[in-house]
Amino acid sequence: MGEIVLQIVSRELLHSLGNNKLDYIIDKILEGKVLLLEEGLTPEEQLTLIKKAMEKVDIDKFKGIEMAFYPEEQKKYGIFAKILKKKISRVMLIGPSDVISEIRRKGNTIETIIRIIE
Amino acid sequence: MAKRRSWILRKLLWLFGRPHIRIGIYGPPNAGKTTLANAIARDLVGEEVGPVSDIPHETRRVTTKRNLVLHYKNKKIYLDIADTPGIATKIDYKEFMKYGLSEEDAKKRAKEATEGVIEAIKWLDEVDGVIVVMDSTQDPYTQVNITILGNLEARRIPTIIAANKIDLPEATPGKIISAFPQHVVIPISALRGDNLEELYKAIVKYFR
Repeated sequence: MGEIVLQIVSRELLHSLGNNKLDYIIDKILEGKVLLLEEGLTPEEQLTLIKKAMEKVDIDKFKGIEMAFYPEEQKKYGIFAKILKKKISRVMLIGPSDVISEIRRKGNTIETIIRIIE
Repeated sequence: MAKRRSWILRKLLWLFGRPHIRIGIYGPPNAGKTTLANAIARDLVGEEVGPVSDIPHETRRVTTKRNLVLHYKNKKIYLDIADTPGIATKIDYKEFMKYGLSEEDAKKRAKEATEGVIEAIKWLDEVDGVIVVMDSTQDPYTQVNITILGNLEARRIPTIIAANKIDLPEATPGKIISAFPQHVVIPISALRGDNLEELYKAIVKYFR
């Protein structure tokens, strides 16, 4: 039976990685790992991650990524969030698209189907 | 000094409006981006922007149509339209083979599609406003749609959502309006040209 490694990445590690955060994430995904980030990515980081993933696509080996996250709750904080420019990040699941085969949103829950490749 | 000039320019544009608007058409694959770009270009200059197909990622390079003239309240507004490849997080050539493409053609299409996504993302720096095209027959609350809209909000790029394919009986544009209440949503059928006038009004109001 195959195995999938689920790596829970702490906020501290993400902060300590600085500008190398997205490269770290892509490298782990290329290793076939599924990551659960304690602190989600900003929209700009998400788009840069998609760009990096597309650059790494290898027709036969790596097809891309799947992401599951809750958007920022900026609306709740209204004008204060805009003034402080503070993004309210949330937990995020990221993995290779051939491992995370499906993401289902059901109200306030997100279900992901993880496929084990034999 | 350059920053100050840019600030003054932005204020002048805010006061008098842009005479020339660069519009990016964004969205996931198969939402009808090229069909919309064609409908606008056909309407304004009688020409099309690019070919459409049921096979995802038909548009794999950014295609532009420049100097389209929109007549609005006795004024001429010039539009540059950039039809962009669909934004996706994954591209599997086997999906294309389901539409009858050979393995070789499917692999070539997949390679070009990945380059298209990268090019589309880069083009976000080149536009004054974005029309995000969503398929009204699909669940709008996808990670790709959320990521695109989140980026437009973060970059403060004026955005209109075109809730496309309202000609189909299963279309529910109301779901898009409910999912993204902070955005302007215009239900349209790019295929039939339904509600394009409303879209033009929104372009002038929010992008100019």
